[in-house]
Amino acid sequence: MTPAEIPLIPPSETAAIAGNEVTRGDVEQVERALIDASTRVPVLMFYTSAILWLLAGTVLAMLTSFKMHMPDLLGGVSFLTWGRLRPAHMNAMVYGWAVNVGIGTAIWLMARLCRTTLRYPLLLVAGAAFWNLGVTIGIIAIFAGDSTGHQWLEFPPYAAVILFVAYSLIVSWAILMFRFRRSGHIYITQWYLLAAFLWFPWLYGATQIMLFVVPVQGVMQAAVTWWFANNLMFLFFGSIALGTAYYMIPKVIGRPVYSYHLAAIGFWTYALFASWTGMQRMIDGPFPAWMITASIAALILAIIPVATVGLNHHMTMQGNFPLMRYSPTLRFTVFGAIAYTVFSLLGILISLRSMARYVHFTQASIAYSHLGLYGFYTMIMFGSMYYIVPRLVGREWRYASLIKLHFWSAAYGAMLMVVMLFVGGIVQGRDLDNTALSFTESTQSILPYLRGRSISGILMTVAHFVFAFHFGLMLLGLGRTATLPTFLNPKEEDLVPH
Amino acid sequence: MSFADLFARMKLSEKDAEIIFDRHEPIGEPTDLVMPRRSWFRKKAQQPNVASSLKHSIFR
Repeated sequence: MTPAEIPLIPPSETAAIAGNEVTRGDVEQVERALIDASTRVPVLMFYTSAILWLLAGTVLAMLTSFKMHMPDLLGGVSFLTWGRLRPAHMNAMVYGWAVNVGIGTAIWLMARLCRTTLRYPLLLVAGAAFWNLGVTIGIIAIFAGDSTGHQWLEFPPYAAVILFVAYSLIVSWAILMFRFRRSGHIYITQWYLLAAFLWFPWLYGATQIMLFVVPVQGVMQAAVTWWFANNLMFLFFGSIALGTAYYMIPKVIGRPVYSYHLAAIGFWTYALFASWTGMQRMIDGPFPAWMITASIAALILAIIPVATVGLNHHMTMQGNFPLMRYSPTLRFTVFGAIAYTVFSLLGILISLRSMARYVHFTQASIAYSHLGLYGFYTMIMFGSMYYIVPRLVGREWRYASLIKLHFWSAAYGAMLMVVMLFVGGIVQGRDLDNTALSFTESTQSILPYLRGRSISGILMTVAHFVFAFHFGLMLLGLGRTATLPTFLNPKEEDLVPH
Repeated sequence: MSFADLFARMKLSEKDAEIIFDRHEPIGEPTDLVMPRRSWFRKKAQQPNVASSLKHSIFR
């Protein structure tokens, strides 16, 4: 008999017998153990493949970054030219790392919040295997020169079909868990996760149809591409990250979210406004002005969910910020939550026509993407892994020093990269706007910033390899067996408020 | 399901924010700092079959 086959009795019945020798607390503990046991293999598989893609994407990112200021680097190797390396890097990070880690976290959260075991987890493992097969074929196709040329959608249709089937298999399991949930209440995290699960097939399916099955003509293809890229960031990755933060922050500090009603307002306004964005990336392009203006307006209105989420997280954390010294999860998650606010404000700033005039088609938009996908999403996912993995493998993280090194390398790397690319983008935009300068001269001024970006990339590379090593120790069962977690500052343990 | 039921289910309560807490990770106790004793893993090591360990328990 597998843990998934053990029928869990409803909470009311467990409460009725709480007076017996088995307390309700014991029952809850066993229930959680069964839930964790049922999700262990699939979630660890998603995490393991995510980390492998993270390492591969990081190496590709380094090559991409160095080639920006050393264009002759590996220039003689056709499949390592910049035009193939960059899309390979982006797709490895987006579909290999970000989707895998997001689904892994989402499945665990969904199972815990629905208080239900994951039935037939091996089918989910098969879904994960198919997903990674699709990503592998897609990356090979890009290196072989079979890219579609659409940003964030470079995988050819034969790889996209595999991804779509695999995704359907994976997410139907998560939705089934929600359908058969044992908890009467629905937590805000479940809202975000469920929405993300349903938004992805809409985004990916609609885009594939409009670009490859029944392709729209001309410049409309660019509109479809940017709508997809922007909404994949907001509606899928953003939803998973916000849902995770809404779980991790209250759970770690032991205080309910400041205002549940505010959280609901934030969710619905996010769903309403974020889906309108994307067209602001084509300011001054050959499109009807209303399309672009509608996206700019939606992005500005998206300040409502940003403010509600930011306020909610801040008020929840108020008085507990010192706990960030002790908890890896809290440290990464709060960094990501702050990055979300900065990311949103920066998005509004660079989308205003007066500002876009200078930073459009410059490195500033790359800064914006990295702040969103790395500073916000990836940091929250790192935090969730620090929380979830010990509960799956039954071991604690082995070295506090490696966690610290991971955090500071990633944080400084991300901040340095965003600053370098954003400032460099403004300089680049100023020079591009200067008619007295030739285009070649305008590219010279950006070089120091691109070198700075490569330095930040080295920091992030260190962070990723350190984390992969630490995760590998956990997978091999070499984590600490102590019942206490890995404190970041163990000597000051007594300062932790209870 | 009637609309009344639907609206009743959609009605929010600040209590909903507390459902992520339980007796082993209660409100007021930081969990990632003082992690719960994950004793079930040790229990499992001693008694490989979880189901058999529940024979005489409430799960029957």
